[in-house]
Amino acid sequence: MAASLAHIIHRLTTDAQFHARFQASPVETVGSCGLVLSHQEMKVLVEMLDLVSHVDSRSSDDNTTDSTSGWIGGASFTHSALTRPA
Amino acid sequence: MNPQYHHPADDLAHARGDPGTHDLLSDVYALLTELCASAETDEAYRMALQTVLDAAYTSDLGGLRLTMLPLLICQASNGVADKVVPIAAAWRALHIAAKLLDDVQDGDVVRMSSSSLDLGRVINLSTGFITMANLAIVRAEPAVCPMLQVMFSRTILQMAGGQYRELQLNASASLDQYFQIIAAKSGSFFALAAWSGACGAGAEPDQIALYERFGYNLGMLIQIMDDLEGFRCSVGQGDLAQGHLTLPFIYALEVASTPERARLEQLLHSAVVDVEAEVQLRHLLTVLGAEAYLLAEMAVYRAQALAVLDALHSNGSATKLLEEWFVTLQLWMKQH
Repeated sequence: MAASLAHIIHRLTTDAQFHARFQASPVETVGSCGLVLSHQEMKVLVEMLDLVSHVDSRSSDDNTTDSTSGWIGGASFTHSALTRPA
Repeated sequence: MNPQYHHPADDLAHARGDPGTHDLLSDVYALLTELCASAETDEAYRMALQTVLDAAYTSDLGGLRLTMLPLLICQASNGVADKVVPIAAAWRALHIAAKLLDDVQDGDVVRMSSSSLDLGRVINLSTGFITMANLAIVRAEPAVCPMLQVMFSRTILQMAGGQYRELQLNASASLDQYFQIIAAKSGSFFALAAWSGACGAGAEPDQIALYERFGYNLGMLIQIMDDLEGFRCSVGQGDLAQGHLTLPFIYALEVASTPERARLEQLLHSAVVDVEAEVQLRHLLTVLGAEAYLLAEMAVYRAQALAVLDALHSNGSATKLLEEWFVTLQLWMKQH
């Protein structure tokens, strides 16, 4: 489903209205494009939505220090399995 | 490397009661050095192989220590890690050979033409490391040796096939085609590391299959990270400046409009000789969402790898050190 994820990210990045619709109801918005994402892909997209904000809506200093907007060090890169007690 | 840096893989040495911190890793390189030293071959060739080995060891110590993967997986499968040192050595030798050939394919060797390593010598050294991998496998436990030989050979063919297809990539390539290539080149290679570590530990077939899946997802994650690094390089240094068709560009071809596609192809062609074209190309790829896409794919493969670790933990595997190693890998990704 690499192509589906690619097309959704492209729309999120380049189409502010699509981004807003996705933010409100991700599953329905993806379905309306006739595309299918896996559960994991959908989860990741929702988590990293700020990163794929429409270019025009980003603040000017969004990418000054971390081009991932902190995402790679944020919630996506922590996991209960990795903090499990010994 | 930070002198305070502590790598989870070091705990494997402690866990088996040894005071040394890098024992198992040095055991792997000691075996490769022994194989190199005992080979009946030209002395200059032997020295050239050893020079590459020394560089690989230094790189391992300061980097991700991917060589530890079969050992960590053996330990997680409740096996004795020392027993899979020959397997880790075979995998690392194959890794070095693949890296050398990759440099030839990417043209990196030609660009280094002022060095003593020309194209022919690199191919020659690569052949030596593939042979050393075969010799290392023979040192594995007799019960698993034939299976390992078959799996290593199959994987080498898969990787070579992926590399062959990569050479034929052009601007009409699809994302699916690209993912098939990196699955053959990187997914299968890391799946082999995980499979062989679990196999060497005498794990049950269902557990071996889970580790293999973990390795596959890890390999895909590392390959995409590599493409991201190649995209983020300074002007004149990265994949765009060398005209390489990697994931950011293939993504853009998939989603771009017809005029944008024409512009992308034109810029990639020019970026090899024109810094301004490279800057424009990087900007266009970013605007199209290429970087976000790569990060999303990395997150997907990471999540899949973690799901496998969860399943293994539930099945009673001692995955703590492997999980910590995986965390270290992610920290490394964040820092680079």
